[in-house]
Amino acid sequence: MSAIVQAEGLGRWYGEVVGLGDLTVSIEPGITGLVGPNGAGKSTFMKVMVGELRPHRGQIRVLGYRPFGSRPLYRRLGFCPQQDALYEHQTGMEFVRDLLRLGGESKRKATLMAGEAMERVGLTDAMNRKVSDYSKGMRQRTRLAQSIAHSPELVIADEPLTGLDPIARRQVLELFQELSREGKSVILSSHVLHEVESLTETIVLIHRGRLLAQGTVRDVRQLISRHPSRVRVTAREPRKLAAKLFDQPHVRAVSLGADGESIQIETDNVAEFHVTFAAAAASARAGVRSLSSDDASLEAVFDYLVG
Amino acid sequence: MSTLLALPRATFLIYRLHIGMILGSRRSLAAIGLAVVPPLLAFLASNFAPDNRGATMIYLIVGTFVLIQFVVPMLSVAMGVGVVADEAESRTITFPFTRPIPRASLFLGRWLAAVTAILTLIAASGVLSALAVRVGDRGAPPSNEVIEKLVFAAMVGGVVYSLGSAVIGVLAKRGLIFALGYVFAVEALLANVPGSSQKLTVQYHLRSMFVDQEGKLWKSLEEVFPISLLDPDVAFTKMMIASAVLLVFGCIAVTRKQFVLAS
Repeated sequence: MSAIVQAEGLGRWYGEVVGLGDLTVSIEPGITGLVGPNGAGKSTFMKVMVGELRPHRGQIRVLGYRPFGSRPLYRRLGFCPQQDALYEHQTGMEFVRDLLRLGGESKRKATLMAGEAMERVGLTDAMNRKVSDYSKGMRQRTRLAQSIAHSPELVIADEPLTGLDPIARRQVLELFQELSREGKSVILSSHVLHEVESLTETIVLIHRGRLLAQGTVRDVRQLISRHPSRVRVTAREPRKLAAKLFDQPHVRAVSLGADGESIQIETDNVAEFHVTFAAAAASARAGVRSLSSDDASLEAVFDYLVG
Repeated sequence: MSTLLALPRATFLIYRLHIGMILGSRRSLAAIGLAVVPPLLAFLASNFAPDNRGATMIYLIVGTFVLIQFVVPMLSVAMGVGVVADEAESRTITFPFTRPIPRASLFLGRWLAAVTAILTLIAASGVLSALAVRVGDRGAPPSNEVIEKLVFAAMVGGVVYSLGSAVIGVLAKRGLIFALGYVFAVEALLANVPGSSQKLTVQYHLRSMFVDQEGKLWKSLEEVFPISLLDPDVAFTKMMIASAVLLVFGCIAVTRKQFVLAS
């Protein structure tokens, strides 16, 4: 499978402020979450990907094109920017339709496609209202609608879940999954980590303009050998279980939870831990109620990496 | 679609998109207010100026010093500097720039929309000024030829100043300050200082276009502009060349420039 985005040694500055340091990354088709703390360079990377900015250093190809001002790329790409800006004198429908017309569609076809896009983002009822009367969430969905209206094969969305209420968030997440099922790729940035995690396993972690880690949450986790994996277990006899687990060679530490019913285990090898855990739990007659790995949480990985 | 076809199509669509926005904006209301100034002054002058000033003379004075030297540059700068800069400032420029259109079409389409409004206001201002001087009992009103020449020169000024302002707006962050600085510090100063430095100004060329140097009316104004003017056709040609250069430069600038938008 060929990469949809290939960046090599990408650098971009704003005066003395580094937006992107030396970013080398390759993004495969599918849904990819671009994650990092504020100021990490996510938005700058997205702006370079869509050709809003040119890199000062390095090279980037998106769908095989150099992005800056690339008309062939813009036929295949949809961009949902983070900034809350729309043409205020227009209705949502007019906004999406006119941008489609700029893309070369006839008025009739653009109207049809805009209507479909507004329906997909759940704005059919409000599409003939002025965007200046829209709520923040509706404005966000309008921006999203213009990015998907021309049925691009790659949608790049900068913080698309910001400002959405829980129902709208679920709708948008479902929309991205739907796009993925249609064979389209989505790259979205977010600092709402659990939402990214619920949408995709493929993440790109950026920090200070550099690639920190890339892959699935577990892949990324394995890259950090110096940080142990954490597993949380609740049991009827947590002390007995803790005593048994201390003997395991790959267990680094065990601590009792404040609730008196749980223990937290730190292990160097989570796969091996899961193999031997059952036997240890049975021999301790611990009455295990639940087992969860914090390492499946992107939040935990992120905290380890940037914390 | 080839650039040759895509450019006029996208330009037209952007023109249509923005003409309504411009006409309905608060800036346009201010521009209308500005355009009312010359007719108002013409009306006042025709009623209260000393008796030896005829209607045509009042019209020429108001047309030269108020319309062409103040209102035209002010209006053109106010509406021209934001041609692309407004879109960058409101951060909507991302939308047209991520569409498969030649970026130059944004400059062309938006400038055409702005210049439509500017020229309409200038023409209305010029014609209303001519009507206003008829109100007072000042003898023969300005002939159609005088009105046409003055209004035409003012409109050419609108084209040149708005293009220059639009280019400044693309290149400079505080475009309005630069553009106003140019038209009122550089242009106004040079155009009114005796000597050949006047020839460097747009004002000089505009005056050349509507002034009949042999005419007796001009003789009374000649003391103010003690410099020979250009042939009207030459002046017009020079202004058109300047406009074409600015237009091409603006298109290239907007195609190559990166607009760093705050998130």
